[in-house]
Amino acid sequence: MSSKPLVEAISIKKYYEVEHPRTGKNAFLKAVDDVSIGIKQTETYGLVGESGSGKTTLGRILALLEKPTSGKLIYDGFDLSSTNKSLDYRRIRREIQIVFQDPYSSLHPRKKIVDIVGEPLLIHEKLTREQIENEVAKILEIVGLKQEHMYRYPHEFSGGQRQRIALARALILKPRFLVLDEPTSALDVSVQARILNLLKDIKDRTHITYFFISHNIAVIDYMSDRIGVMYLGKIVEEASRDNLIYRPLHPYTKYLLMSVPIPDPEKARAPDRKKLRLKGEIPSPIDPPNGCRFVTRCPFATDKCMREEPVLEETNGRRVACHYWEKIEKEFPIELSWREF
Amino acid sequence: MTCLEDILKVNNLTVSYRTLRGKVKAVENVSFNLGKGKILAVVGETGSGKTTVGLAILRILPPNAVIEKGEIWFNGKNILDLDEDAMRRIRGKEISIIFQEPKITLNPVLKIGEQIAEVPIEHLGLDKKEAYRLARMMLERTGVPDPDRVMNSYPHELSGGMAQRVVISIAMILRPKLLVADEPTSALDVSVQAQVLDLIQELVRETGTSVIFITHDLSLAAEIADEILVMYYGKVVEYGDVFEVFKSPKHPYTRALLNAIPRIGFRGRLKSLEEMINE
Amino acid sequence: MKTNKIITMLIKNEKLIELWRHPNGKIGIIISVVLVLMAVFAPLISPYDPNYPDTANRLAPPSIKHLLGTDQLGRDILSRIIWGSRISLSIAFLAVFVTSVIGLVVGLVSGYYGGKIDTLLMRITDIFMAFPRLVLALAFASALGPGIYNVIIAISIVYWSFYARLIRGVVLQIRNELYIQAAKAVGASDVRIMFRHILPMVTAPLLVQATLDIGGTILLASGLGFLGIGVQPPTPEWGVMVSEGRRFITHEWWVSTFPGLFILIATLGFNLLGDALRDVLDVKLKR
Repeated sequence: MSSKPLVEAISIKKYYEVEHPRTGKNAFLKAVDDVSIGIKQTETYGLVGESGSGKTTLGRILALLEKPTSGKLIYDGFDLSSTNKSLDYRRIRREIQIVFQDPYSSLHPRKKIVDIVGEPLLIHEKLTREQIENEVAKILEIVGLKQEHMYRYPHEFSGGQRQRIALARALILKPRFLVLDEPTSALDVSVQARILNLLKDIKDRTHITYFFISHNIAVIDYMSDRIGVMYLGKIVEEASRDNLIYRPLHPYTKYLLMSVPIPDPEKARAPDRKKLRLKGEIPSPIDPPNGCRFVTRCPFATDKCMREEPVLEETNGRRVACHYWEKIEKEFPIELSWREF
Repeated sequence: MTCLEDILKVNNLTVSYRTLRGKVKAVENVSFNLGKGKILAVVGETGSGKTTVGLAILRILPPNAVIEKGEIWFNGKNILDLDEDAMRRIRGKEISIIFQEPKITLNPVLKIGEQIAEVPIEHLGLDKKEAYRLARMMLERTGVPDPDRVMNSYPHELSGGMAQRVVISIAMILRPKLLVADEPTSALDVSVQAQVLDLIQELVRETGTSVIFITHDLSLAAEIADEILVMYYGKVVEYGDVFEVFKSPKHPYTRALLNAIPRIGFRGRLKSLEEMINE
Repeated sequence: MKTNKIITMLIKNEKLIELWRHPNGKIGIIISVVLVLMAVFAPLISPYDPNYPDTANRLAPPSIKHLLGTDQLGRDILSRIIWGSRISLSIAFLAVFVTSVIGLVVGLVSGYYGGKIDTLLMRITDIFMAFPRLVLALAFASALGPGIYNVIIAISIVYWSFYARLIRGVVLQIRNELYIQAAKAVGASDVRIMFRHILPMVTAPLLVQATLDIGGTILLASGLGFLGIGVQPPTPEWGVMVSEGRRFITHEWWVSTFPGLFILIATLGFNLLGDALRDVLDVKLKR
């Protein structure tokens, strides 16, 4: 595994100009605000965040569905923002794919499965109809569907099956980088388990790289090698999975982990858990607060936090954006172990 | 689990829906009891019928629903026998319901204050001033910051968490004996969900209200429920004390669900239903 | 044998069955099918040559010999009406077809790309839609001169903007749907997305509107003919026939009334069909 990242996002910003809901003036909705991350080949990078964090927007930018307002996107060494288009862009367009959250609207209602899943081949390769059907049959089998399903329409399938179809469509061109935007959030628990396992199996068989977005930390924990935590358009912490889960450094991460419901009544009702509750809600990404974004809810906030935005600094192979993380570690250590969960 | 302190007894409830494809059974022979001040989690996936149970208790099923048989005993009466007038007196006062999407539950063109105050005005005949005072108190109690501003706001101006607190205020302002909560936190962020769950537990302790907590998420049942009822395609497959059910689930479906939930720190492989059946 | 195949396919088609069951649909189908057959088989079913002046029997009332009577030149009215259906229907179908195509392209491009193109195109449609349809059709038909093709052009000019707007509306609704984004993600070009992904979703409302407009176009064309613009006598266009029979309305009422009746039936038939289509297809859309 090379250490050069497959996908590099450098200072990505995505601002939308909107009308401020209260003042009526023009304001900026800062969906993604200066995010820099590097995703290594064959790893699963898990991005966790709540609503308004900008995680979906970032995912769409990485999947080349939206252009950032500013910043650079480098894929496999190619600077995508440079105007060197057409040939390279076509190749790259094949290698980056996405699976969306909603299985009910991501498949064209009037097309047969074979046309939906086969379309990428139609666009990028010159194959005969027979060859396309062959490829579609193969990929459908890989995702756990039958060949006969090719000739049916999306509405004949369940949510879990539709996500498989969406996955088949994304995989048929054998992409190297797959963005998964909450792929199982709309599915039942047992179906979710199947899809997650399927994703893991596919990863084992190929050398694919996943960018997995979810609000569910347990799912992120199950799938990811490295985890990034996003809050109000910024990455506030990033570390390897075990480091982040068992030794979170950023206050938001700590409190978030304590808020996750635990499927075990004894552990869930441990007396200390309730004391560590996050207050308030995530503010609007329209004209976010100065200084640290987390200042409105952080129990450790000081004046400095309100004035100065903390930099995402590197320490021991991980990153954290907090002025006082070291102090907080010393004085209020929250060391978790798998026992806590 | 029947005892004198039960405020709700459901016996053999069976509900079907009339659809273009004929009658579909949504709920079949569901029975359970609910004690005073207790929280019962009704857990099931899509199509389990859990929402239908909640709607049946409030008698707000859609028009194509048919209650085939069963009794729902509340306050010494079978509420399935009551007429609409009697039910209207019960809803909001003795039994309340809250839903998943607060912004849809609330009326978008009325201010919050008016919507909360409406409840005591309707049921207790309070005058406007008193009702508004009570509403404001309730908002404060549910932890809404700046209650005066919220009283004067419209639903679309509120965040998800705040809107849900408003909905809870409306449901609890008259201290009902029973609260049916249908996926009340599914649309909320994790951090806000935790706050709302705490709030519900506090209110239960304070007012002695019993709660039927409908959810697809077993973890939420682990967090707050006293008893748990697991439903699968309309039938009850497991019913018991929450600690016992989690420790030794009797029904294979319950076991499958428990094995399929991702939990932080779990380093094995999640087992889906199919994988379990194959074994 | 091909006809048999088509007929069997039609009979088995779900939507057609639903359309038939629809109260308006039944009437609409019957009327439109009869009219189309009338137009197609005119040479076979017309009892007389429409232009043959039976001078001995001018202004004859309806009888067994001339079922709907004769006009002032002795021409059989029924025959003229049958041949006239060819004219009315061809004007209607051609005009609606041309309008649909123009409106479709404009609507797709406008709705999909948005921005300046959209603004420009929509301002143009605004201009055309600002005029009452009949007035605009009159203006263009007069300017273009007599003749059936000029009528078709004039009507197309009047109607295209409504279609552009309609299609654009649907495109706006759909273009942000996830399956369109998915097509983009897979590398589909704009043209491909417009014609392979969006177009199939647009055909239903387009078909409904087109059917309704066939009725409206028949009326419009008749109106123009009545005013003496576009199709000229001796062509047996229904509106022209009504106009010619105006002088005789008090005593020889059949000369104007029967063509007028057919205008009514035709317009009504296609309107009812379009109405029923809307109900039948809408349900499908919702599902």
